[in-house]
Amino acid sequence: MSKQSALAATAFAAALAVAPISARAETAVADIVANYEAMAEAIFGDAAARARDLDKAIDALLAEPTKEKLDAARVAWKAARVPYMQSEGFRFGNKIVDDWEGKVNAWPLDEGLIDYVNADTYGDSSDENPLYIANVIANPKIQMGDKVVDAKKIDKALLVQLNTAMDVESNVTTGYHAIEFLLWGQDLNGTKPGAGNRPASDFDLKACTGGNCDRRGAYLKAATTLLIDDLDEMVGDWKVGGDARKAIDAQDDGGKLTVILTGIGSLSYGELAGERMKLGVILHDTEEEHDCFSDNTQNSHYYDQVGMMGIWNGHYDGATQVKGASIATLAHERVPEAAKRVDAALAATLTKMKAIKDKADSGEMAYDQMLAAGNDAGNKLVLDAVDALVVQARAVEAVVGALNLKIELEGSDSLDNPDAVGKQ
Amino acid sequence: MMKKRLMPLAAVAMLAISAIAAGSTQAVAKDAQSHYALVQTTLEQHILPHFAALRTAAAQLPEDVASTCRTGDDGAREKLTTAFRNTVLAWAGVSFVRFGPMSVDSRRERLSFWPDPRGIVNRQLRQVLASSDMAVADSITKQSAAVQGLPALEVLIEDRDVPLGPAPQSVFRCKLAEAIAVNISHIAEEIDTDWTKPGGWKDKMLRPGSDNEIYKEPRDAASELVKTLLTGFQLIADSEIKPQVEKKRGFDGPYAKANLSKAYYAAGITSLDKLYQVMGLENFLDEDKDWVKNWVGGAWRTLRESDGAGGAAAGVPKQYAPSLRKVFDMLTGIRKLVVGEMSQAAGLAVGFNELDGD
Repeated sequence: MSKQSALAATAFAAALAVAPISARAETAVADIVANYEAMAEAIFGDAAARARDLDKAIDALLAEPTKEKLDAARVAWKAARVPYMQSEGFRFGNKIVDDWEGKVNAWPLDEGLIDYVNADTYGDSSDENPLYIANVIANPKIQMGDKVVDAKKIDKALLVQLNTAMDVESNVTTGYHAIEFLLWGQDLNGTKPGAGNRPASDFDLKACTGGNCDRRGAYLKAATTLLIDDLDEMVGDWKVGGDARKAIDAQDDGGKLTVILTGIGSLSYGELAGERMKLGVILHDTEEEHDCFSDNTQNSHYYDQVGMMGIWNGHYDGATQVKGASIATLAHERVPEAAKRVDAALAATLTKMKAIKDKADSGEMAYDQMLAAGNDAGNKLVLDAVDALVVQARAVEAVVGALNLKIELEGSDSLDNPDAVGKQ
Repeated sequence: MMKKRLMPLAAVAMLAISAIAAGSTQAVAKDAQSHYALVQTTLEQHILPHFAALRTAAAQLPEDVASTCRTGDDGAREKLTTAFRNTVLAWAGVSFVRFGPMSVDSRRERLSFWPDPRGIVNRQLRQVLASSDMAVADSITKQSAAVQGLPALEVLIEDRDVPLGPAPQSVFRCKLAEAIAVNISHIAEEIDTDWTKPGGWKDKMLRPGSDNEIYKEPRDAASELVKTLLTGFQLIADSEIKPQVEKKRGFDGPYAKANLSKAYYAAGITSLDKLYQVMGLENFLDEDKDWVKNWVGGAWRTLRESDGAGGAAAGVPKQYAPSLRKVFDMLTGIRKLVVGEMSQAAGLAVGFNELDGD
């Protein structure tokens, strides 16, 4: 998940084929790519549609700030995550997605920049972030170093301006997690049961709790409409003639296949297994939980895996359905042993993710409780999935090697491009 | 000249042959032999000695922490400072060797939770110190990785307000520091043992085969080492150098409280340099690739001249200090040539690594 730096620093990118993929009477790369692109368009399209549902639920909440309306908005937020998480397998292979991702799914965030927080648990300062408790909702002026930002009007432009303000990655003002915080509030339960518990009256203009209910409502509305804008942008990029498609189509066949496999491998290993899952367990820290306000993390991780399996198999089974030629079929034709290994690894990971989801959904143990020190059973549930993801990445790597594809490491976008080194 | 194309055969390691067309059997056997030799040399001349050095350095910590806590005198404190420095620098030499025994039980993170851009070590350690809960010290291995390794010990050693010693206010800190020191020593010992014991990771890498779960052929083990080398370049470039070039807010170099950041960089580069040299990847390059060797040779000279913080390395005249930007470019440049030229010429695959996420 993005911490929004000029990343791609560590993401895999450009790919070349060591040996050209020859044309044979087998699944055509062009068909695989066309289906992959159609899947991306469909998945981001569904994500945008669910974000519009969320927007409607938020309109209803702001018009009538009751517990029922707040609950309905929370349900809509969780539903909106389902297609989005399935899109994450498109991220690392496609620079255009990776560069954009920080606007919609940046995490973790210092929520004190957005709204009131509990000082006992959150603290009142951070060496790393001067805006740690800037509280945009309560303050019409935000001091940023020697500059003052006019925050009188909370709108999309303000949120964009403040996102990653002062070059601090955890200054997240946009996207799913900013909205999540506004709908749930802080989860003050640590590793004990319970999610965030913001009252609906935090949006009630007549009986306002938490102060500044009008500005809180404006923030929530702005963040949600901005999310829709951003998702629409990505849908456009994946339409025929869109920039994401152009970028893939410009590559040779080996490069195209590597884009697909890079997305699965990098999400499996460095991102999901490492950043999002293992870190939380080894630190026993709920701050490291992906959907930490809503306690929805089990679903986010599960649908990441569903999405990766869909990309491998060329099949998206959402509100929109897409099914077609897949890299799995090609791999089975050319390198069946390696392909079977990926099939098995994906299935094994899904089982582990499902075990986490079932345990959390049953109410027996939420994901953040699984992270607790001394909760050996909970820790194991998460670490088993981490191990499975590592095996999964290895299996994808084996397909990359068996197909004679090459994954190239990319340096930092924010520094000189050292492509020219060979020419010196 | 034709590029070498590696095929799976491990005559040397007496492995099953799976001959996929391309290249003569002789060439294939030569590749397998080269890969086996690469692995053997790298283990013997780099990996194993470096982990042994870490074990030796870390073994001194418990006694020196205990002595400082018991006496609080300057001599003991100085000895502890030296032991801590030796351990941190030994760690710098293996911090990028993340596979195998290091990956078991999150040993790497438990030994050294760094980089730590969100200040987790400080935050969690503050909470532990505020609790003064002896049970935490007693069960240090079960606690957060951020409070059980070298960075946490660094905070305790370097705290001048409440120094380690016999004073009543230091009782809990000492208990905690002693537990951490023992933990660090144990982890270093476990890693070293897991590498060298019969049937351990060294044997796994030197005995690839169909019954080996991890390494089926010599090239699998050799590829693991290439990935390790690349991880080293990436870590130093992205975690140590880049934040300085970008003037990242709040960035602390590794072990900055103990004033060890520059020495850490030097130890890391020295180790990486040695790893690169003993692996001998340049030997796989065709004759028309001399420019690669020349460029890389120049890049290493630049890296050795830097102190990792924009200044000159020890013994290098100030005016020769390369800029951090240049250091970053050299690290990234060598990495790219290892991926694009050397590993390809050697028939070794590079794949995904844990630094892929952000």
